[in-house]
Amino acid sequence: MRAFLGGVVAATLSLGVVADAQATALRVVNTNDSGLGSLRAAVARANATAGHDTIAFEIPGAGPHRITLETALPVISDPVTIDGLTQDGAAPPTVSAPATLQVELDAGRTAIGLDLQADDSHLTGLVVNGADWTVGGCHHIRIAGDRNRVTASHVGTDAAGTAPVGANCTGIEIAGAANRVGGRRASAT
Amino acid sequence: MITGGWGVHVETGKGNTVAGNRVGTNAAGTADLAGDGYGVASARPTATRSATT
Repeated sequence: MRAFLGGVVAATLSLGVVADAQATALRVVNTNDSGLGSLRAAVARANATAGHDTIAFEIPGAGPHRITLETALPVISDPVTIDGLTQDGAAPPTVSAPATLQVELDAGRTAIGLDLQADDSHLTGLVVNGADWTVGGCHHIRIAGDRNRVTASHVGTDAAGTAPVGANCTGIEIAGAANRVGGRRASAT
Repeated sequence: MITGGWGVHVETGKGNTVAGNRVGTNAAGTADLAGDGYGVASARPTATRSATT
């Protein structure tokens, strides 16, 4: 995954200027809420780029790595794969063991951690938690598009999957058709 | 694995699938982490094949 051609570092420089005509491979390289190398920048860039983009993680240091949102992320409006299994130390689940996950998205008291309104997207290898019930209608993940998948992830728990985080919110709210939640398959296809 | 007030809620849309998950438990499936609501709640036709709920 380190051979990804496009980086969010480079991509962010052109954010808001011109969207590429082709799908882009983006990298998250820190746990910052925003700015160069952040998940927020990668999502914004993916939204602005036509085609099915991919967001991988190369955050340095020992995990798990927690990204805590200060404000809601942009709604995911264009097809994308966000693949937490690309982070060092992550592993998909097996028949006998749960996934080992290294990327944690803490919604940081916003209402929705990941708001997936695009079709044909894939969220995998992620820990998503921390949505805040006091703001109403809270969901760790909301899927409003069609044919999306969520796999190999922990939703509403800590990174180890041992304790609830944001237990008053819906884990995954679905308002679309032909979506799939679950499964060990980690590929983007 | 998924937990929350409701683990998965299908509000609208047909043909959704929930499969191969542990819902309302810890990752090992050995402890209850559920909130007060349903593990999987659906207002629309949904295939549910969860390993543990």
